[in-house]
Amino acid sequence: MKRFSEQLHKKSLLIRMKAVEKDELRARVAAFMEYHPLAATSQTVVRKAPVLPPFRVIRIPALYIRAGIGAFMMLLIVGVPALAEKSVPGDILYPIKVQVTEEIRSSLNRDPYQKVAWETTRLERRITEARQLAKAGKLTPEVQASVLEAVQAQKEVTVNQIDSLRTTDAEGASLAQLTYATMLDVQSSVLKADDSASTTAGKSTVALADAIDASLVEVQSKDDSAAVSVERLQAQLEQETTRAYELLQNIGQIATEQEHKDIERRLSDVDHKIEMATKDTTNDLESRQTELRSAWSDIQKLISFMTDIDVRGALAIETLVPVVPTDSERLTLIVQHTATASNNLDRVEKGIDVVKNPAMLAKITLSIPHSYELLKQASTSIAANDIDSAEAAATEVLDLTTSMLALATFPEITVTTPIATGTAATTTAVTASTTVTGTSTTSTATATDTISVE
Amino acid sequence: MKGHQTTNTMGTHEASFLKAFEDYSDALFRHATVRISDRERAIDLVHDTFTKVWTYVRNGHDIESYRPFLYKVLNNLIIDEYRKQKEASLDALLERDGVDEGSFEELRESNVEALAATIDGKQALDLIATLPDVYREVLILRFVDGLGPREISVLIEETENVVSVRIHRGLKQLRDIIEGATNEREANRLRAQ
Repeated sequence: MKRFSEQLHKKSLLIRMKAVEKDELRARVAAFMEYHPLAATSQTVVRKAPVLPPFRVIRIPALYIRAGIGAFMMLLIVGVPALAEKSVPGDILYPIKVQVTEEIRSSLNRDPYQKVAWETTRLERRITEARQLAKAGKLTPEVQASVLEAVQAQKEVTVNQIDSLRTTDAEGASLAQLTYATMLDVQSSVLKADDSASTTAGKSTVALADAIDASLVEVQSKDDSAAVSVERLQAQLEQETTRAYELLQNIGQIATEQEHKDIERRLSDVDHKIEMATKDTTNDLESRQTELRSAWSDIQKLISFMTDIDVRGALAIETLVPVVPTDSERLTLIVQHTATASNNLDRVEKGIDVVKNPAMLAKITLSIPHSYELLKQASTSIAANDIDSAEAAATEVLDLTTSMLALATFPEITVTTPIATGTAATTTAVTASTTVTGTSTTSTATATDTISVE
Repeated sequence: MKGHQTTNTMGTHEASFLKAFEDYSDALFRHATVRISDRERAIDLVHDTFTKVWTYVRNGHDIESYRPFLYKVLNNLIIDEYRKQKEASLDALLERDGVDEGSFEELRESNVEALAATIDGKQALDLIATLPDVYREVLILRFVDGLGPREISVLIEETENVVSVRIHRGLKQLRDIIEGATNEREANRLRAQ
């Protein structure tokens, strides 16, 4: 057994790896150990708390950095000015609005007239900001003083720009001045309307309104709008009316239907004024210029009304730009006035017995023939297509008869007066109805009630 | 201080493992070479043995004695190798499955020694590869690697009796093979004369 074992073992010892093979095997096993190191968690000892490095380097691709810088620049160029637009004095972004955004826009205007127009707009913006502060109750005396100072400074810039423009473009300067005056007028009206609602400290805009009124008086005192030719006025009005119609389309979503109609009506009035001043060359030049300047003022006010929500909130459009009745509307009104005056006269004649005071009786007795005279004059003027005279006579007779009725308590009667008005081609029936109590008498219109208008 | 303990513990594990490599890699290679008769493949199996044992250590297990553990892993790998190569003959499988508890004669160590004394050890190593693996396995473990029956029983997960019976029968087969080979050579020599 021993011999067998020894022999077998001895011979087996001859089976062995070469040194190279063993080295290679050792290297393979060592590599395996290196790539599969002992896990620290498998140890029973407590691990040391991890020590964080003092800083960490984060690698960001250059593309992301460039995109980030681009986005930041876009935010800086577009976002900040957009936010600054809504700022008011005292806000952090307000200097950006006044000293950066507005200055850039100012420098972009190459046309001197446009430059003045922009300075006027800037003044308007300062006044609007003051209104916003007043609404928020932040227009303290200190703030108001600084706002007044800013308004005054902007006003001086605007006036200087107008004076500068006058040396190269007198007509443009006159137009700019007219626009400036219109803007002051509108803003003054709005400030007064705002202030009438509040006397609370921090909300009063009286001082600002007074300053603007003073500026308005100053501007109006050196009115040279006559220097603007009809042609220049027409050309500028063409641009402004186009702008106004575009604005009307744009505010279609936010304006009420009634506001839309009201603005359309005023724009139609402006068109009518321009048409009359352009076509009616029989009038003297000054009348035409006056008509066009009126149209210019109206269109500026309408633009303010459409672009400034505060103006819309504070002022009725009728206050800002009263409706200009057409000839047809004026005729209808004349007929109504004369019909009412006739009825009043009828009541006075039938109830004259109630007047006991001799002085009053004498006064009424003298006025009745004059009233008939005025009614006749109105009818004649209408027939002659002299609407102005007819309007004056109708208004006077209505006032006169209304005064007579006020002198005593005349019996009241119910009168239904069919009145026909119209052109040569059509006749429109207008019914003037007066509800009267205490009597069942019905009076038919006199000869003046039925009027044919050419 | 605790950090040092961690490092020291890790170093101890690595040192023990590397020492086991130096101590047993040759023996394992020898065992594998005799078992599968493929030198290159034997090196690979030894490599796989050490990597598997290292993974076992990495998983947090402690190994008290590397020698039996390494042999156990290598033995399993060799069995897997047989399965892959499908070299196990039907006879070998029958031998593996059909080994009984053995006779009293087969279980006596003195009889094993007596039997071994009749075998030429010089020829045995070359002819041992012709034995079925169940016998080859225990004979190599017993006479090449020098393990006792108890160690072998633990290693191959059989009882000591089974190990002894296999050794006895393996030796008898080996002796028959050697004698057969010797007789054949003698016959050839006589024919040649």
